[in-house]
Amino acid sequence: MNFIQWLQQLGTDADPSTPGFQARALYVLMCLAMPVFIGLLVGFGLRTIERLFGVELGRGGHG
Amino acid sequence: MTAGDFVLGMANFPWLIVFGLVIGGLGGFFGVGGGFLMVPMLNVVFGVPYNIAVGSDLGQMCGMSTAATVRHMRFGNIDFKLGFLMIVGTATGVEAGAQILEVLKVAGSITIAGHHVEVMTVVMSVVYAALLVFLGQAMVRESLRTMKRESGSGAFVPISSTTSYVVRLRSLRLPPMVSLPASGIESISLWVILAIGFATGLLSGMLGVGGGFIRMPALVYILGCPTVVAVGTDLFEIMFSSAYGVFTHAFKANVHLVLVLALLVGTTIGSQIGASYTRKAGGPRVRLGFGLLAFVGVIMVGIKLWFKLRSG
Repeated sequence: MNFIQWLQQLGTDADPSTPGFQARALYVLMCLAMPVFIGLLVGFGLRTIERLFGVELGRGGHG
Repeated sequence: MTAGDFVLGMANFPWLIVFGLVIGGLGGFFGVGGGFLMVPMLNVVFGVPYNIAVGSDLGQMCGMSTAATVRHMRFGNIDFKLGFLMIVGTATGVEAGAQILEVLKVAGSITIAGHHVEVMTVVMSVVYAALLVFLGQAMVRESLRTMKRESGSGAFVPISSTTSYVVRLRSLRLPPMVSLPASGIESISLWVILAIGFATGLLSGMLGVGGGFIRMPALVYILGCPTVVAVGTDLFEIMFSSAYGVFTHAFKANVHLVLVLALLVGTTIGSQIGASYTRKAGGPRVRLGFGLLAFVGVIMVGIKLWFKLRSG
């Protein structure tokens, strides 16, 4: 099972219409951790590129 | 429909990256987040239900705003005190917006002209169309005014930064009063800060937008923040509001992780490409193009709703 299939699997039992539904802790954690991790990676990565090559890259969206 | 029920075909994965690339490119080019285009277009182009589109777009926005805040932090333009105070209002607004979406999700369907259509689809389509018209006309009018002035054919009309309404809000003496030294604000009612946070949070939680188009002018004109501080604090606020939005939408199973990943990959690359081109183009013509693009979005949302009605 690759990463994308694993992500797909993680959300499949998320059915809040069931009485007493509780989202899986791992699903909630991944929803928050994955974007934050990628964001930190990209943010520090671009900062490093700017510092190493002495260039200023465009800020892009949300910035 | 929840994120668990919505199956995203793997064949769509590369197309979603391309889609994120285009929206991210446009966002980077026009200097905005692009959330207000992302959600309706995910619904129109890929058939993603609005609740999942909102939850997943907030995930994408969380990543993008984290990256932007990390890069912006070195400039030291974030008023952390203002940011943290506003978060209280923002989080309440996000939760209220997410709850409204939950109500719409289970509201079932209505009959319009003999055709059945989901209440959520109708309400969200109308709200998005209204939002796109509002943003589009504001951009078109502003850019046309600037172009007229630059060509010398229009008389210069100074824009008052402090209308009487704004002055009344700023001078509201409803305790507790707070001071914001980093923004150079001696005293302002906490309720004004919370109200701004709540309004933008509501939009974020319900529509999956960053809300910068409201927060930025509010920070500058109502609170009186310097523009550079407003930009940095707005970013900081988007990061927290989208993170809280993802969190609360995850509990409602509205976040599709594969969709978030595809969009994030696309928008991260696209926004850099878009931002590099905006330096070459720049100016009011870019904003005019952006305004017109919003109207294209309105037409697409309208066509989709019409097809839904026809097939219902």
